[in-house]
This record gives sequence, structure tokens and C-alpha cells, in this order.
Amino acid sequence: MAALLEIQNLKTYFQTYQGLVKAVDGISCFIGEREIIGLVGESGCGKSVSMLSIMQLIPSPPGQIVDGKILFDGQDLLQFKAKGEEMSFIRGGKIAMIFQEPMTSLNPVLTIRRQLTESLEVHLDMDSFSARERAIELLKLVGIPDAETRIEDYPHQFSGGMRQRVMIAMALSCSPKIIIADEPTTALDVTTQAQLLELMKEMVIHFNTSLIIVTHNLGIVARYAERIYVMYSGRIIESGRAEDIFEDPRHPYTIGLLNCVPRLGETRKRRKLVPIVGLPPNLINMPPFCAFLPRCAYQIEICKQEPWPPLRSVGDQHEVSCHIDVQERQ
Amino acid sequence: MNALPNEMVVELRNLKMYFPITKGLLRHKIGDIKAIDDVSFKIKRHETFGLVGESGCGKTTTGRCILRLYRPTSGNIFFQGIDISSFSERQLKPLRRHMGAIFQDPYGSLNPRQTARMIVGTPLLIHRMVRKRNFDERVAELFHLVGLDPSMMDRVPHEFSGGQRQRLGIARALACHPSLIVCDEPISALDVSIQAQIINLLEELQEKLGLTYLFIAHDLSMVQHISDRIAVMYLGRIVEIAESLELYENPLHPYTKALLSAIPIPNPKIEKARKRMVLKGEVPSLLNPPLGCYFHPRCDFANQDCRNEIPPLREVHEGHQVACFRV
Repeated sequence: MAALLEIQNLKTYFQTYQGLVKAVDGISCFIGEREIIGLVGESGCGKSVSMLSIMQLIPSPPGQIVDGKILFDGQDLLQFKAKGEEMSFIRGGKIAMIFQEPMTSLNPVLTIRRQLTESLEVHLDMDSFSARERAIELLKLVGIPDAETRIEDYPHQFSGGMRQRVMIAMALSCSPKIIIADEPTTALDVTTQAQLLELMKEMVIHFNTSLIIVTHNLGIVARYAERIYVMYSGRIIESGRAEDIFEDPRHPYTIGLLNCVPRLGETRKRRKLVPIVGLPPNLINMPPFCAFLPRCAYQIEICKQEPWPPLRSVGDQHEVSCHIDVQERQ
Repeated sequence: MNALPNEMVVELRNLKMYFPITKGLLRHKIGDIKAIDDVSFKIKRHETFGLVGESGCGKTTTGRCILRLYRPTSGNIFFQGIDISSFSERQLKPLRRHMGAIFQDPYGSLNPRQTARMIVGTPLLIHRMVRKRNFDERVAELFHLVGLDPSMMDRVPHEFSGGQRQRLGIARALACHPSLIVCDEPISALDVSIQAQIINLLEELQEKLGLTYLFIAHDLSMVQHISDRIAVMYLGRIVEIAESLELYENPLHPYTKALLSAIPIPNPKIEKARKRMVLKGEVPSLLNPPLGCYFHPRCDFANQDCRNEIPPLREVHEGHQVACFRV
């Protein structure tokens, strides 16, 4: 599959008073056209920072993209200035983003119309009348009833789920090539979450868009993603097709994650949860070894001596960054 | 430790909790928010009773009523056989030590200026459960119990991680040998890999100390894992009560079915084959609830009866209650 967006060895570091935080430490991944991929990891593993790096929305200082390439449409996005015209053209126009908190990502003092039509006017050069028409059309598409009148409402007049629908409409407004959804449904109830995810999937097909779902919920990626990247402390530790990741996980962390979530229909009498011991590492001044080492149940001598291993192939499109062959050990 | 031998630790009978809506300068009452409307259930000793529902359905209010942090509008709350629904603060105090609470937000529920020692130990002082010279010893014991190192006693909350803070909250809840612990979303603020640690800790403690839990959460898969029986709430009412596995294998209320189908299963093969029942619309506002069954505007099976009357909770078969006309 031809890659639409390719990240090569991206490194985003933050300079803090306590030391250097390697929030994203050399990740490489790609997304094809009309593909849905999942980026999974716990909080602080660098999944949001890597997505913000694509959009060049990293606050600098303290953050800085120190190395890497982000190839999109044959251009390296990192060549562009963060505040330059080219980046503004990409941001929202070619790559759109949906954020976690629908309340904080909408401006509370502007009407939905102002916020929705802005990108239409800027990116597509529409006049305010046709932009409004288009905005109403979009709101109808994402399932907001009574869109003609509600478009003049303010964000606080919408419920959480409705706000997130507005965010989806906003992301779709300029028919972007890629939508990045950063924990799009975490703050919402399960039934609303199901509604929105189904809607996003529909929209992605309707608009021929690619979708990156960033989440900590393994269930969501299992349902929607075709390929999955698992991140841990700033690196991708395993990647592959969804079926392979869930049925044949090769990294001890992925295995641990799958064992520590409850499944429906399994009460504690049937299966006890197996937690991952310890805590996620503090990213300040990390030792050069595998960051999962202190929590790893499989560790061997070589893990404490050799630096963090690069990703190696263990199957068709299936890569893992581990010294150990987990399959052999089981 | 339990002075009052009784099979039922908690029993709610037709509990109602209304909050007044006031308006204007004189704050005269213009209506009620029926946060809990006619809720009845029993929690047996040593069991984990799960309470699930979406935000705003009244699950936290129910937990708070049981702890008598609210005085209910009407109905009875029996705690170990005693009706505490209209007890005064003074009458409640000797009972308070038998109930503990763990809260959702491990950041907001601990005083940032108190040391861990005082956070865990204050209940001991209030209820005079320990002599001064034994105080540190007992606090250290509690630290051990929840898997914290007693050498961290003099730290303040911000020096602990989220999971450790939740452990502190659990130690505090356990301090006075309670028989009931109300766990209000104890894991939803934690990372996936830490959630399992806390759940396992809660299970171990229950076995070791013979605790009874009311486990309140919105995550049905976690509730299902830990609970023996589960009640599903919707807009202040209980729509279904059943044993944990029964609820999963044989859900009867359309809302329960929708909740179950909304939870994605971490297995792509099952997920892709599963048919999903996506609810239409949104949760109605409690200010203006629909007539009849509260769920009928979102329900595919609703008929005229559902629009006119509120279905009562009835037993369909042994231990499985449901509030729906169409079952």
C-alpha cells in the first residue's frame, strides 16, 4: 500500500528543569490511503505528542522536534515553519485533528457557525453565505438535529456527545486526507462513544479519508483499526495487523496489556486479571536499556546489557522491539 | 468485627432523592430533579454489588445516600438491619466507622497538605480506634495491607503516583474495620495497567477482611468482572438487576442490551463479527423526563403501554429483576 503519510525516526524532546524528556524517541510509522490505524498506549507514552508533532503544534520552548521526517504528499512537513503559510494550509485543510476534550477544544464565546465556517472560508475560499450552507450540511451529516437553528448556538448549549459531533463536522469540513482522532471518546459515556465511533467510521468511508485513532482503549482499536502501533515510553514497541497484535502479541508489554483488561462474560471466578507490575517509567533521563525492563516478566541477562533493540520483523507486517522471542519462552 | 450479624448489609426500600430546582432571588422552588426515584435493592454480606449506568443516572447519589451523606427525600435505608434514613449526625457517628468510601479522583479526594500518615490515620483518631502510642503501628499496618511502603508515611499526596494515591484512599477507607465499602468509580482515573492492580487488591482485601462492596462504575466490563450481582440504572431508576454472568448471557432490558453491545471487545475477530446495537438519541434531561418508561424514546420495542406508564421492577426468574413491559 502506498503510504499517504510516513513518519521516519521522529524525535520530539522537551527540555525541563529536571532534565531532558524524550517524549517521542525515534518512532517510524505510516498510514495508507483510506486506512484506519490505531495508536495505543498508556498516558505519557508519547502518543499525543507524536500526533501534535505531525501538526507542528508542539509548544516550543520547551518542546522541540529534534530529528526525523514527516513525509506527506512527497513533502517533508518538518521543512515547513510551524507558523508558516504551508503548515496552515496543511493543518485543518489536509490533516485535521479531533481532540479529546470537546469542551476545551471549542471556543466558548463563539457560535458554532463562527467556528465551523472559519476553516471553510480560510481553506476553501468560500464566502460567508455558502460557508454557512456547507456548515449546516455538515452538521446534518454528523447527525445534529435541527441544524439550521442550532448552528447559531454556543458550545455550552450542546451536550458532550453533540459537541464531539461538532468537532467531527469541523474536522471533515475541508475534506482532509487524514483525520487524527486523539482519544476522541474518552470523556464520553459508553453508548455515546459507540454512536460517535460508528459515525466516524461512516464518515471516513464517505469522505475517502484516512483515520488515526489514538487511544488507550484496546477494545476500540480491535473494532476499528486495521493496523495497530503499540507505544511505550516514547517508542513504538510493536506494530502489526490488528488480528496479529491481539492473537499473537510478541512484546511482553502488549501481552501484559491484553491480560490486564477484563473481558465481558468473564467474571473473576473464571479468570483473574494479571496486572503489569510496577509503574510506567518517568521519562526524565531514561537509561539506554529497554524502558519496559523493570516491569518485564520475561527479562533475560541481555536486556540489562544491550541498548533498546530496534524493531525487527516477526511476520508479515508484524514488527516487535524486544530481545526475547516470547513465543519460544511460552 | 461486625457487631451486627445480618445477612443483608444494606437494604434500600423505595428510596427517593430529589434535589430542588430553585429560581430567582428568593430561590423559590419550581420543581424537582429526581436523582433517584424509587430505588430498591439489597446488598448481601461479603458480596460485591455493581451499580452501572451512564453519567447523570444517579449511581453516585445512590452511593452517597447509603453513606448517608445525603438525607433522602423518602424511602428507607437499612444498614445492617437498622433504618438509618432519618438518623441525625449524632446518631450516625457510631455507625460511620462501619462504612468506608473510595472515590474516583485520587487527586481531588486527598488533602494535598496532609501527610499520608494523617490521611490514613484521621479516621482512627475520630473514632478513637487506637491509642496514641499504637497510632503509627496501626497506620503502618494499613500501609502494608494495601501494598504501600510505610517509609512513605511522611510524604504528601503529590509525591505519590495515581495508583499509589488510590491505594492511600483504600487504606483510609479500611482504617476503622468497616463492613461496607462504597467504591465510586475507583479505577476510571487510572491507567489500564494500573487498573488491574487496584482491582486485584480490592478482591484480595475482600477475601482477607470479609468486606462487602458497592462498586459503582460506568465501565460495564470492569463491573462485570468484579461483581457478584449488578444493577443497571437509567435516569434515576433501576432497570435491571441480575447476577453478573446472567446479566451478560441473558440481558433482558433493551438498555442493558445496548450497554453491553456498546462495549468494544479487545478481540478483532469477535468484534468484526459482532452486530452492534447503537442507541439512537441522547439521554433525556432529568429536568424534563419523558412520560412513561424513561427509556421509551430510545427504545425500538416501545409500544403504547411504555409511553403511558412507568414499568415496575419485577422478578422474571430467580434473582433476575427487570423493569420493562416488553420482556
